[in-house]
Amino acid sequence: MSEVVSEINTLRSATRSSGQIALEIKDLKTYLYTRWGVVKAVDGVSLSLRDGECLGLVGESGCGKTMFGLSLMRLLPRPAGRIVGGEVLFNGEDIVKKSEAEMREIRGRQISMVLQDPMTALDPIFSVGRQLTETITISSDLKGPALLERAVELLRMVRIPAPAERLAAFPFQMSGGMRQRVVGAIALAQEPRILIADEPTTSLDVTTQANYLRLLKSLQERLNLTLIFITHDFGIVARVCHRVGVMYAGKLVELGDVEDIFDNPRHPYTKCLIDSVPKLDKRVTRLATITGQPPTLHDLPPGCSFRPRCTEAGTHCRPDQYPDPAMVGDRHYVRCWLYQ
Amino acid sequence: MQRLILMRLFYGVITLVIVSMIVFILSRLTGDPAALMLPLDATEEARINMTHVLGLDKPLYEQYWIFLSSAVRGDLGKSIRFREQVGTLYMQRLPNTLKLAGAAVFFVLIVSIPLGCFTALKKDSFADYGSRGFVSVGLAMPSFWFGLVLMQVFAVWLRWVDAAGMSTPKHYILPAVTLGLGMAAGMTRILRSGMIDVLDSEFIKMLRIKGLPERKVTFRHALRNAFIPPLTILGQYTAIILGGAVVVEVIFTWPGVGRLSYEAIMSRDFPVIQAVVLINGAILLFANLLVDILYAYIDPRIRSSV
Repeated sequence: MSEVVSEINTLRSATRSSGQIALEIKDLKTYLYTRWGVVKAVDGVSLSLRDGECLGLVGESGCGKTMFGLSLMRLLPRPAGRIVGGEVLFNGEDIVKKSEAEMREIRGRQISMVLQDPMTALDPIFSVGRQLTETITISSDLKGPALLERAVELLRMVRIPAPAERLAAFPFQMSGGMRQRVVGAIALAQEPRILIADEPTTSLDVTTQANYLRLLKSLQERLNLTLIFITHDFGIVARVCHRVGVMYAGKLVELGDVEDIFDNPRHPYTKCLIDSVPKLDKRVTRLATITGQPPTLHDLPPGCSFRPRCTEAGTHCRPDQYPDPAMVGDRHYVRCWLYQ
Repeated sequence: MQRLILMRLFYGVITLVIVSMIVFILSRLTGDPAALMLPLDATEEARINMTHVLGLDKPLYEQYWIFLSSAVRGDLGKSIRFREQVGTLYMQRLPNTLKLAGAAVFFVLIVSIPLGCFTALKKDSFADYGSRGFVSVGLAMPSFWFGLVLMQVFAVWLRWVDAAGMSTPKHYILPAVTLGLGMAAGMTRILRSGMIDVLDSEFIKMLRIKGLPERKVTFRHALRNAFIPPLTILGQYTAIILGGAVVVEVIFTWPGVGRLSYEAIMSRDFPVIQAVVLINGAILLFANLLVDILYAYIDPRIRSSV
C-alpha cells in the first residue's frame, strides 16, 4: 500500500476540505420504475461536499453510481427514473424541488458532468468549434472574435494542441482521448462549481487515461472545482480523490478520507475492492476477485444486500434490517453489522 | 464534394444508358408500330414500306444508335397520337406536375416533421398512439379511394373546393393531400423512430447537461441527426411524384405528366411511353444525386469519406 499512499501525498493538493459546503445530499432516493419492478438505484445516500474537494464514488457496474450523478443533474432517464425522496442542497436550495426551467440555469453553469463514452458524447455532425461556442453562448453574450477566442482558450485549457485549427474539426476526426478533452472543455465552458465525472477514463487506453487524470486534477485545483469522480477503479481514486464513497446496491456502504479507506478499510466489500487492485509490491499469481454477481436492484430482501457474497457474514448480521451508518473514525463511516 | 457530384453524374449516365436499352428493347417487344399506324386493310407492300420509312428494317444496333443519338440531342421522337414532338408534349405537362409535387411535398413536411418529433418526445402518450393510428391508416389507404372520399366530402357535400381543375391555390389541396397522405405517414414513422434513437444517445444527454434549451436540443441537434433516413425516403417520394402520380392526376383530371403517361398507355403511343420512362429514370437519378448531396451537407462524415 506504501506506493499508493506516497502517490496520494504527492498528487493530492494542499487545498484540503476546509472550504464551504458546496453540496449537501440528504437521504437521496432515486428509483427506476421499470416494467420488471421498482429498481432502487440510489437508496438513501447522504453526504456533503466542500468547495474544491474531490470525492471518489466507487462500486461495481450497476450499483447506482451513474444514477446518483444523473440525480444531481436531474437528468434521469425518462419516464422510468424519479427522485422519490431526500434533499440535494445547493446554495441553500433544494435541487430536487426545482422546476425544469430553474434546473436549466443550474446545469452547465453550476453543476456539470462528463460522461463515460467520449465517442458518443459529442454531436457527430457539428464541428467542435460550433459545439463549444454554442455552450459558451448559453450563459454569456460573447460574439464574433471574442467568442472564438474563448473557445480556443477552452481547448487550450484542456491541452488540445493547435486549438485554433481544431475548431473546424469534427468529432470523427479526433481520437478518443482528444474527444474526451473536448467533452471536458464543454462541461467546463460555463465555469461550473461542481463537476461530476462519470467514469471519464474507462474507455480510454492506459496512457491517455493517465494524461486525462492529470489534466482533470490540475483543472480541479486551478478552478477550485468540487469534483465527484465516479469510477470502479480504486487505483484512480487513490491518485485523484480526497475522500472515497463506496456504493453497493444503491447504498453508500462506506465513506471516508482516502488514506483511512486504503489503510484501514472496514466494510468487507471495500476490502474486496481494494484487494482486487493489482499491487506492485506484492507478487501474486492470481488477482483477488469478489465471488458472485452484484444483485439486481429490484426486490432486494431486507438486511444487508452484500451478505450473500460477504466473506465475513455471520450470526451478527441481522436478516431483517439494513445496518445503520456507524462512525469508525474521525470522518469515516461504514454500514456493516460488524461495527454496530 | 465536386468529386462526389462528378462520380454520381458518371454513374447516372451509365444507368441511363442501360435504362434506355431496356426501354428500347421492351418497346420493340410490344408489337409492330407500323401495323398500328396503318389502317387494318393495308397491303403487305404498304407495311414493308412503312417499316422502311420508320427505319425498323435496319439492324437493331443501328436502330438503337439512331434512337440514342437523337435522344441525346433532345429529340425523343413524335407522338403517334398527337403528331407532336414528345419533348414538347412532356414540357407542356411538366410544370403542372412540378406544382402538384411541390404542394404534396410541402404537405408531407408540415405533417411529418412536427408529428414525428412530437411523438418521439412524447413516446407512449395518447398523442403518440393517435399518431400511430394515423400512420397505419395513412399507409394502408389506397390513394384512388382516399382521393374519391376527399372529393365526395369536401367538393360534393361541403362544397369547399372544386373536385377538379387547377386554376386556384384551393384546387391544389385535395390532390396534394391525397398524394401526400401515405408519404406523410411513412415519413412520420421513420422520423419518429429515428428521433427516438437519437434522443436516447449520449450526446443529447451531454447537450442537456450543459443546459441547452430543449427546443435547441430537439430541432438543432436531434432532428438534424435523425433526418438522414427520412431524407432518402423523401427523395424517392419526390421522384415518384415527379415521374407522374398517375392515379391522383387521373382522378383529379390534373394535366400533368402522370396523366400524359396514362393517356399514352391507353392509346399505345409508344414514343411517348418510351420518353416518359426514360425521363422518369433521369429524374429518379437526379433526385438521388440531390439526396446524396444533402447527406453530405448534413453529415460531415459523409462529406469527408468521398
